[in-house]
Amino acid sequence: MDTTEDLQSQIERPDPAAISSAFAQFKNLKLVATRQQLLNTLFANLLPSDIWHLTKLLGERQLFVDIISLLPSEILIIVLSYMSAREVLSWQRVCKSWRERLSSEFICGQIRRLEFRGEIPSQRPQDEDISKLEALRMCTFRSIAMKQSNRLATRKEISDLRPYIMAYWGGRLVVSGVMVGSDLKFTILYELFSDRRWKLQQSRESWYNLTCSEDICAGVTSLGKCKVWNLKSPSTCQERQLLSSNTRDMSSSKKVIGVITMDQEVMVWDTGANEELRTDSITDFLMAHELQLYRIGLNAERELTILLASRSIKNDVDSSILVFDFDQNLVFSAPLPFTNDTRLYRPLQPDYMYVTCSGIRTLTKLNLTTFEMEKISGFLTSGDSLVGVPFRDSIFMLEGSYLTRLTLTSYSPVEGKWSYYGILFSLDQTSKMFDLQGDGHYICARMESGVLVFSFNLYDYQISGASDSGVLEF
Amino acid sequence: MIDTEKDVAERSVLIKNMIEDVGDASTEIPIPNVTANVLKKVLEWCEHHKGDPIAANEDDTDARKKSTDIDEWDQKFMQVDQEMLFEIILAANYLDIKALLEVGCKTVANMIKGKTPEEIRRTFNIQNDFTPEEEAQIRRENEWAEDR
Repeated sequence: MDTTEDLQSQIERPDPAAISSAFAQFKNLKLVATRQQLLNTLFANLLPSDIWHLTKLLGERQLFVDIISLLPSEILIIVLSYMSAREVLSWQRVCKSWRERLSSEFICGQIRRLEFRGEIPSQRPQDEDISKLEALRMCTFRSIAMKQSNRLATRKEISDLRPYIMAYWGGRLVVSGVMVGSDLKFTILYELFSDRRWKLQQSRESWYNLTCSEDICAGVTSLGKCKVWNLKSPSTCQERQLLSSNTRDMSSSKKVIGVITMDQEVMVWDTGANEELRTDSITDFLMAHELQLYRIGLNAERELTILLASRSIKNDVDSSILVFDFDQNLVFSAPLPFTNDTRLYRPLQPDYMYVTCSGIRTLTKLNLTTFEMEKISGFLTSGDSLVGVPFRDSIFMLEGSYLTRLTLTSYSPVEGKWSYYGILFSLDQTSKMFDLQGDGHYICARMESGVLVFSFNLYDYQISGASDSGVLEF
Repeated sequence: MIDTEKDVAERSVLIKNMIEDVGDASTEIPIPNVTANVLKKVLEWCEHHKGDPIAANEDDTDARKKSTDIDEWDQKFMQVDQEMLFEIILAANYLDIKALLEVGCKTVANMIKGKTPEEIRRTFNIQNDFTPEEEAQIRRENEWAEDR
């Protein structure tokens, strides 16, 4: 304790230089009691004018530690897990180092999880940890591989598999991929709520796009063939050849599908009447205004409208949403903030004209815009949203996120209410049961040998024993 | 060097494993990354909590308290300066004492919870190094996430 005594004696002489020097060493005193003792001595000996000087010194150097900037990431996440995501975002304004910290990819990836308070990662994500859609990809392929070769696919085999796409609508999940151990491509339609599944296609063509709606499931192949299955009789398939094989986006509503290609071809096909609708005026309009198409959405519910998200050819910044009716009249247009990852979804309700989702850093922003240009936004997810789907009177977001999780979120514009149903599964944990709403809406999921097994009873889907559980296995 | 009882020290998974490796509880265990002052403080906590059931190391998220409530003794224990708090958290992490790490994190959480950026700057004596333009820009970026 010699140093302490030295310091004490230095402080007892009211000399600013000595005080400064003493306090330069203050930091080395680890015991709080020792510091306290020093402070007591100080306040007993110093003039009031010196106290200001000291407070400044102490304030700047010793008494404060910017814990948030200094904590290792895995501990910071535990601290942040007690906060709401909104709070964490607002703290980006504290200072530059907090902003950097709180907007880092890893931390942001966890922000979404903060909504599920109490969920603290038990370990750091490993390098080999898969992300985004890899989780679903993995369990799908694992189960396929099990069927094919009685063994689980390795991570390498799974990560080598490309392309792999899926579409989702109101409980229906369409998955297309490559079968392990062969070059056969497959397409599977799976109904989450009824546990029905169909093998739609097995061919040597790759899929570029997939879509599904109430009545149909459709896809465009690498050869520009557009194939449509009527879900009432999924064994039959309608086919149509596109001029260009490079599709950019595809959408469906009821029995109608829409496709846009990289070459600005627009095809709207009423598969019920097996009739292709004219789109030449739309193409002319786009050329006249020097616009290129990025996304297509359809609304066959009301007024049969085609929603197109476009971007100016001259100027990459200007983008807009264009709404045409099926007679090719422009009925609505509005500027739309647009990035490459913006997705366009068919309208939820007649009043809500379009729904877009786009990533801001690793958070995803949801926009609902009505004809009256009333905007509703919110953030949904970490990482890439798998799909956002209108179902009943809510939009459901089933999404893959960091740490190999699939989460389900919904937003009801009618009630103005967000619901977080929770994490459907994670590879770290074998079983999860959620009743996040406390109103009897359950989601239960567990992993069994790399296969996702789940049950939900959203709205009128009741869990009755194990019969309503699904196994994602083909 | 600090003397302590085996069951106190074994609150730390790291020390527990080390004792198991050595096979003799009377041996000196070197703890290179924690200073004596902090270690004393940590052992004080372990001593008080030695009777507590040790939570399973695996997934114990269900049992985990979801609020930031801290028991009274722990609250008093955590009434230390920020540097000590910081070092206790680091030590708890290094020594793998989950419950103490949690108490430390909750304490930090309570220090910043519900505070505006300005209040947080005051809590940690942080200089606002944004220009007003930059701050407005961040506010705009995050606007969509704010309560309507």
